[in-house]
Amino acid sequence: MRGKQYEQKPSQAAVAHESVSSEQPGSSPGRGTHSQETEDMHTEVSGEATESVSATPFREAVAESFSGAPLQAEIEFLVGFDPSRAINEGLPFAATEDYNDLLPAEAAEYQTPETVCGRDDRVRISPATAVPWRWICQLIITMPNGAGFRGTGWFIGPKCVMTAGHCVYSSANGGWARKIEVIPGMDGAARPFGSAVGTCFRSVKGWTSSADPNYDYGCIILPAPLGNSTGYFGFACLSDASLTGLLLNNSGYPGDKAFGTQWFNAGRTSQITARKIYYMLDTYGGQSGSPVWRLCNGQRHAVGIHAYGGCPNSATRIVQAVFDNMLAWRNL
Amino acid sequence: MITLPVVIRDVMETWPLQLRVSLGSKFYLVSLWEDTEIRRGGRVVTASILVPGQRIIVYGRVSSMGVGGTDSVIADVITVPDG
Repeated sequence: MRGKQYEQKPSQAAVAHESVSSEQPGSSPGRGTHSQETEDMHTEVSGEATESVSATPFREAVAESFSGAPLQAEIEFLVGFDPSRAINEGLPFAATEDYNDLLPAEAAEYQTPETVCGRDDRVRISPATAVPWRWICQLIITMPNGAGFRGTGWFIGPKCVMTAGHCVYSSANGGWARKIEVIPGMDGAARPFGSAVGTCFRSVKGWTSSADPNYDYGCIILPAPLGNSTGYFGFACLSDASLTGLLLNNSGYPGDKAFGTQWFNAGRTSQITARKIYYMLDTYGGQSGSPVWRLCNGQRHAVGIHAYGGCPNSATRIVQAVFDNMLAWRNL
Repeated sequence: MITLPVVIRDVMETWPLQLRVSLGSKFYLVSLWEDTEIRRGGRVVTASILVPGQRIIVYGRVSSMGVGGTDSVIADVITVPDG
């Protein structure tokens, strides 16, 4: 059974989570081979490296979010965050009074993070215990060679935390991560939902075997259903038309801010390709794996997995094959 | 030890960063570590100056044979030429 699918009417896709959870993990494309020592822990999904372009009509697909228990009020706009900038970000350039705020180029050098695009209007999320912030997790990654990294993840199911492929698998550092500590809603020293250590990961061969940025996504399967306390994101596979100019949200744990603090930004898509979504939202190292989502009729659907900086910054797009894998992983 | 004059193709936003770089037609995955030093114009700068399209020189260690014909390097020092 496939997930509920809707053609060009995502706002009408108000299906219950239960209809999604009936998906069977084994329904995903064939499993790939992997190293013997990790055979019971990690899996690459082989279909994602070799899929061909489908000739069938594009169909949008949506899996709904779960707010967790207890329910708390949602935050639409944040104090200190100017939504008008986000609404205009990514639109064709127009001269504004912002020119008055520009620093001389030489003064800005080395001060402005390069993946913060233009004026840094990131806003701190504190506390991070409300929806959707508590769905988002600080990741503390330990690679097989002992190297430590920080990243961001987000719940899509009770045990499943989505992130970038390079957060769970780094060939430069020995392959699959040794362990990743997942801390939802972290806010400085506060760990309102505790934490869990994952040692079981998923990605696709397009990343683990080919290092192709178009396939840079994966997930952490936790040993306990921490997502039942926090809730989790829905996600959606949207058409080019639906993504073009779409207002996007992103929040994660950047490395240039105090450790364990979550920061939000928003803006419009600037370019869409077959496998990537580009935008001028401000991000920074440490936000790899963070969710890129739309807020529509009170529902939050991730449409991409943030992974790359460079202005425009970019996310791995949730296309149908990614969506199908996420559905399977959500239920592990 | 290895010295690679390369062009940054992609900046992966873990912290520390990971890079996908190219030398001619060959691609490398470069991992920065906490103690990787970035130098520009004789000064030590933060890794946030690294952007796609930039020419850099990576001094590091070959980590392992990478994937898909992509070698992997752990960077000890990265220099960003002026200009």
